[in-house]
Amino acid sequence: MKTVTIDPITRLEGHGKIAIFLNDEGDVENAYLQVPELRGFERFCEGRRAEDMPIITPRICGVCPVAHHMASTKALDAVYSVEPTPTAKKLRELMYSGYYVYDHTLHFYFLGAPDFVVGPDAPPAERNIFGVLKRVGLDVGKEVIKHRAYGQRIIEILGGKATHPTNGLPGGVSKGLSEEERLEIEGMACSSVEFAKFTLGVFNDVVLGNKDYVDLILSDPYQLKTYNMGLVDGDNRVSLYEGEIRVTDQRGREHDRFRAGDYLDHVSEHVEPWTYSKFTYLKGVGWNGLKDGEESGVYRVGPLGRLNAAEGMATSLADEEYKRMYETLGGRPVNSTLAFHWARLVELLYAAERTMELATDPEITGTDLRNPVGEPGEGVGVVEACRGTLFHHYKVDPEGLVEKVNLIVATTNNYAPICLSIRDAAKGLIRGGEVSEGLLNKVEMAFRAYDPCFACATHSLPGQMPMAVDIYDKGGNIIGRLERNLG
Amino acid sequence: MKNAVIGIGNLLRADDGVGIHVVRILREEMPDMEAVDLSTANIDLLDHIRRRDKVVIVDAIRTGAEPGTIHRLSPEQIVETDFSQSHGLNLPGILKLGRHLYPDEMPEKVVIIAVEAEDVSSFSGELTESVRSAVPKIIETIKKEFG
Repeated sequence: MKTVTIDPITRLEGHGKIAIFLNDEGDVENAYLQVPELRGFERFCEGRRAEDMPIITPRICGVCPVAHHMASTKALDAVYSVEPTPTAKKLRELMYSGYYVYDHTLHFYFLGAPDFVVGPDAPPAERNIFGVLKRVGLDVGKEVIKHRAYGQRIIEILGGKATHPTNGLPGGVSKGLSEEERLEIEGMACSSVEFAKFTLGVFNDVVLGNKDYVDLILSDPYQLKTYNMGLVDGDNRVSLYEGEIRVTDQRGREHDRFRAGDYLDHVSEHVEPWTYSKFTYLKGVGWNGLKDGEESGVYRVGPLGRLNAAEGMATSLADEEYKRMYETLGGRPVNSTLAFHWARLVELLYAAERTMELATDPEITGTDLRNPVGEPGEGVGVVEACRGTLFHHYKVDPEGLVEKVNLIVATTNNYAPICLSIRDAAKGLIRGGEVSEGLLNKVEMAFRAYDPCFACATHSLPGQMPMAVDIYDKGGNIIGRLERNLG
Repeated sequence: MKNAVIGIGNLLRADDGVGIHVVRILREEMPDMEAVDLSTANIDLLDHIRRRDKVVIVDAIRTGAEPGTIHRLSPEQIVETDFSQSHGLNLPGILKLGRHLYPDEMPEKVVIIAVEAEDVSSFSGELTESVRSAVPKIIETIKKEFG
């Protein structure tokens, strides 16, 4: 059996490695993304004060601290059996919407757009933000920088700090919103709605206006028929901050629906010896290996998972875009991995509209910010992180000290689908042991759509991230290597 | 404010958090200095670099030198990458983007104080002894940068 290994090595220790296994004919049989160990984080948390968890957990990783802060705060609500006040809930969601504006903007222009705006076959040296700016212009670049900074500013106003907010408390928040701050957020929200509409316009012109790209999105290597998961509101519309977890099947029908606290009855974890990350799967279906289809408990989360698991968006403009996406791509669910990028932009518009709704809500400047907490116990908090459903589960002793922690992060939920998407992207480009040009590009495109993040300690000084493809023959001997530096 | 010190690193990964530890001390010792705890060297750096005269970035590094060794580097000494993969642009990429978009707003000087780390993988909020004992010298080095 031949093995092709793609090895993105992060800055310090720990690296994810992609291994592609070939069969006797030299065609792709399986692909595995090996994930580095997250050494001892749960143990690190044990014995700490429960109320410190929303401060500690965002430090796991620099990429989605706000999502960890929020999941952690909601877990503490459950631990202390307390509901936040209506104003506190809205303030939390307002901050969370700002986080989406920030993160989805960044992903599209810096990571997604290079593949489409610059082109999937463009040389790697051009497939970056500079290539994007060359085509969309510097003024658009400034708008990108400005609106992601707006997202940061909203987090800073509400959370105290832009990168690591500190306002979440069990039963509420520590800081209210002044009228002056509210007005500032309203202005930024208004501008963000226009920017999100503009961005969808760019996607429409550049991607949907190009038949080759549409064909690529709909092409077989990028189709995966898994279950889909996401939070929904009472009307089955996408919800990012709260709601019930809904799972839909390969035909878009509701398969399961549950509350955060019951997740262990519905989601289970499978362990493989070749990777430190676990694979989550739907308990009711079971783990049947790395495959898609109704018999496999594999599901997808994140923008496309969420849109597929829902029936619409809760704001008017985003809902129109939701409908347009499904009409264009042949109805719900859409199983094309590359449609994650489109779904992400529908959510960007939703987040901007929701920021506007909340910033103009009469209750948002209320001063009733916290409800008294009960006795500590066990609790689960769930939010939709930008990359997908995020679970925080804590068991706290009567003294308020953490006894047990279990986290299921978005990328873990998407782990099996990511492996499958890499396999399928590689299939078309490795035949009879021959590796075609463009393998790295297409494999990168497949996993980038999910915006995976194994970066529990990565920040990028000096920032070199080589990516290597090792090709092994049947006997396990390396017969070739392709590599590239990624940032 | 025209100058800034920006600490980068993961506070939960032992010596990787040295930049954050240093920034926290500087906030006490140099209250007039803008000292920023940024954790990740991603595009957010640009917000803190723009409209400054001089910026010092403090981070951990591993070159094989003695832990606690202080390296003074220029951005040009950091390998530039095409950053098509990770969430974070690296420093040269961010500076290049800044000069591209805001040519009149970029600082004349950016200095990197990179501290040789011993342990960057354990989950620990503490520095190792070798790095901890270098902290006073790191603070002194940064103060000298601003004359």
